[in-house]
Amino acid sequence: MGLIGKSVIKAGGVERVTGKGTFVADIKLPGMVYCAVIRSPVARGDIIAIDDSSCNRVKGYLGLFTAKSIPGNNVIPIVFRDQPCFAAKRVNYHGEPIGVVAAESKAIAHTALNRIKVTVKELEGLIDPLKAWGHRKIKLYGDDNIFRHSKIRRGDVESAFRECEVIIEDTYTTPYQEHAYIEPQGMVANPLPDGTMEIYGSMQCPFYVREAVAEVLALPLSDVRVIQTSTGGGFGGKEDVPSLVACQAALPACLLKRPVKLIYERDEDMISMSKRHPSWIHYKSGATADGILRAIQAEYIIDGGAYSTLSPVVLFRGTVHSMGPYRCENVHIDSYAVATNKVPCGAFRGFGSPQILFAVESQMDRLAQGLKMDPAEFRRRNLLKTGDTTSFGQKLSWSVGAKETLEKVVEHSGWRNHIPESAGDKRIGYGLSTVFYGVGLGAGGKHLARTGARVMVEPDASVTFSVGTTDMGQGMQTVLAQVVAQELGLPFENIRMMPTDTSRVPDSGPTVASRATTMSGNALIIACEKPRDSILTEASILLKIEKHNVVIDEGIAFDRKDGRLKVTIKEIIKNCFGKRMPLTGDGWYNTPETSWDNETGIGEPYVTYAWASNIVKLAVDTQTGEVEVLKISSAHDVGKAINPAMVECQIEGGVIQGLGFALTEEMMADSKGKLLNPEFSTYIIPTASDVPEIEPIIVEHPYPDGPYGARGFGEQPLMGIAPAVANAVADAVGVRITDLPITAEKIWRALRAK
Amino acid sequence: MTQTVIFTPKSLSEALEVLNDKKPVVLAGGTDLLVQIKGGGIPPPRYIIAIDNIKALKGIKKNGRKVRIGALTTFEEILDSELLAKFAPHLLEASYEIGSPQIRARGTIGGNIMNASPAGDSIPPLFVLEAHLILQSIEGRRKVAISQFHTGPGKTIRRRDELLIGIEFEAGDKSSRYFFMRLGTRKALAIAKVSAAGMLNIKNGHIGKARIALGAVAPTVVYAHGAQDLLAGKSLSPEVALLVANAAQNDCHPIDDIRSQAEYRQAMVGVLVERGLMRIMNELNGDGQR
Repeated sequence: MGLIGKSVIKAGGVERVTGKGTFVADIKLPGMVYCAVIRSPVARGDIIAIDDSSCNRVKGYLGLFTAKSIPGNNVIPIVFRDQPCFAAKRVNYHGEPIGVVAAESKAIAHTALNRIKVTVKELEGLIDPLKAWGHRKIKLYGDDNIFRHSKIRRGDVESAFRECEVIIEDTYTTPYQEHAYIEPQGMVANPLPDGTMEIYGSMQCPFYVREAVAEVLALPLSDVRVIQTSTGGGFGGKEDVPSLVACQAALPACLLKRPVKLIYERDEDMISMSKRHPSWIHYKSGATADGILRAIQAEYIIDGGAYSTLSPVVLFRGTVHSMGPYRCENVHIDSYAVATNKVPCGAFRGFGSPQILFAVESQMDRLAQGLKMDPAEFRRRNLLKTGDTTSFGQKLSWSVGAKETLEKVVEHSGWRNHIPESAGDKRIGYGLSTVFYGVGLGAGGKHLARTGARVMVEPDASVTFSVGTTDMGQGMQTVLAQVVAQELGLPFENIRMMPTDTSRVPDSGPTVASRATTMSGNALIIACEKPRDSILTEASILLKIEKHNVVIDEGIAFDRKDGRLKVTIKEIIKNCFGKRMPLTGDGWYNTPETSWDNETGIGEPYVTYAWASNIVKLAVDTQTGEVEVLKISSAHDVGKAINPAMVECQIEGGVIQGLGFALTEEMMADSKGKLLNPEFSTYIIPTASDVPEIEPIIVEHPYPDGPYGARGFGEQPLMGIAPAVANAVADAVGVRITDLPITAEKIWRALRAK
Repeated sequence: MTQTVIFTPKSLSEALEVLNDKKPVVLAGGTDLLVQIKGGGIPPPRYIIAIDNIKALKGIKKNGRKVRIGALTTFEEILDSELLAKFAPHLLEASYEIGSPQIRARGTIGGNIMNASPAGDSIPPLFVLEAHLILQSIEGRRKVAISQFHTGPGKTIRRRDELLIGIEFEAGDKSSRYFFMRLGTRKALAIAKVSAAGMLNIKNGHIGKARIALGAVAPTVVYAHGAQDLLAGKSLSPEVALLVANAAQNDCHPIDDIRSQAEYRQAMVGVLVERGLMRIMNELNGDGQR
């Protein structure tokens, strides 16, 4: 296992920090046209007219493209088919695309954009999801403005609450969160003379983009080729929305028969692209005197925005995670995704779980406090372990490292050893959270739960491989290259990943749900079988030993019994080519079955789960309410860390993004649904100076169906940070903040009210 | 398309001619102006004058008791200045809070003043120094007290043919003590939610002149007159600090905005002033012990 578990340097890492790489903004094609998107000035209204007559005198203006110009269907297919590519008659959110202008330069496109006259008759919109729900007059989706209602029904909640010693009931709210990827959205559409369309761009899911472009342009899937360019961050924000961006570039490209480039400005990106769903949670849970979590009743509402996009699946995941990683036999959950006249919300690291986990883990601390029990001990008594059945009825047969993550963070953090440290106006507090994450698409998207891969060994022992999942900075490329190198016995340097391209491998589903390592890793292991067999066969001939005694590792084949007998793999591969042996392989991997009963919420929604615990140590200034985070210990059961350094980096990155969600990030909308702070000077993400000491801890309980025991976990580091911060603030100064972000103003107000 | 003409004069006199003829928008470090133009906060100007090549506007000098900071001096240069570390240490504290290393390398003190934000970090420290701004046009030169210069957010009494060329203040002596404190939502790249600067002349334990200025709590930076009056003639003690801090809260009129809330800001004025005064008191006690 030479390369598995080794922290090789991230492929492309040096290029990124030195500003190299082929990003979509770097692409220049001969005759390229630039476009700019016309957007709705109101949250809800009827489009009366779009008039570009004053653009006709602008030199270099090439035209206006709207819903009427679309040759195919005016729809961005995701789960339901309710989102148009361009609003045709009715606009449903501030910033909704109405059309694009194309011009010979970006500057001309923007001049034209300023001259276009859009006449919209403003209508009353629904901004507050609690008011939109079942609104009698305004119907945005169906009869009740509900995209999806999910539930879990288990045991008897009412009688269980009667047995409880402590019951905590409260309302929690969380705001929008912005992905703040470093590279804004962008696409280049390149129509070829044969009638096919090439799309280059920043994205997570090339096969989604292909489907949308084919739908809008009325092309068969075979005629659209999507190639991912180097992608500067995604975090879920490049899951579904790049389909929209691609169609905005592809439509003028198709009609003008010229390549078209579209790169979003940051404010445009922040106004119109997806975000984490704001949520409203009412949560009641109870525990018996022996410290057992007996009953959970919750209502979870997410603000979906104007179109359903990914809300039904976000809600599904949120619902599955709404009990936390605990045993609980009496559960009653209702969750709803509501339509409003705001920008559609979508995927964001954690996918509907960070919001509800904020409530779950705040509640766990409050129950422990009510029982006068150490919060770690209370969790210890209720955490799922191997052999347990989850609160949604899934038996966990293996690989439950939740408790080990808890013990690790308790041990490493100096848990609650704070009394001597508080000084002056500062009060030290410790906060804990334990979370879990269903890895992969699960029952909510199981038709997409497959992946393809292709491996090609070249005569000089260099190797290319292709997969359908994407690297967006998370490091998939490196981990998968380690897998291929390991399988073929070659050095890491020999392996090159080809840019993800829909023409290389079959539709492999999206790169989401922390699935790339597990899914593409497994598909690559299968793809390596054939070339590996050729290498082993030829090695056995050259070494004059039986095939099962051949070991290959980092470029050398040798005899398992006699290490002195060896031959280089380079020589073996040369021979294989001479003998015309197969050195190319295809892999196809499907996940084991998943299930979910929509009425009871009982099933096996995900094939496996990742587990994590966090302890936040912080200081609260009792005069100003300011929080200084001092240290975060974060332990994650990842099955197997194929590249431990990159696992640690994922933990650090997720923790920082979680801190933003916890403390400072708040995208605000006015009463008319216009976002007020679409810029980094007012939407406050953490800077390097705000990052505390982070101690990443890796726990490995192997996942039997994962490559070398690995399973995905990339989202999980963000998920438990906000409740751990809330719990630490409560520990420090005795105030409980239930609405994120936990700002200095809120703490100050709560302290004053005490 | 609207075209912008950019002038890049090499000398002050050349710049003043352009200012007189074209009334252009002045570009110094560009860290505010370019963001405002791009964000649509101001319409694309017809004329811009980029003054960053005018060497005469740079540098920090002391002549007798007068300290002069060229308008084009960057915050990085301020942070490196031994002269200012001695005579305006609170200006260094404020400069360190501005933006990020990149912004401090480009951004200038003149630009910070001309941007006229009530949250501009360099302004309260200049208030407590009772600094004067030197404005020049082809018609001549005038000096204006910084406290008279700003009339509202983004607004000053500068005539459009004038250029801010420098800032001048009288150096303090051994008896002068300073502080600058502020709150922001994060540790860097954060516009102040509230800020406070102070200067006390303390001789034999008694406060002579006292100046306290508050940022981000009124349409412009303001003096805390009530607090200043209370300080004069007193000795610093925790009780006095608290009394003065409470008075300072009544010297401001904050608002709710995207960064914070009025009620919080008002209370924080008190916290910052109290902490600033206590810091000076502890410094003095520390000095006494040495």
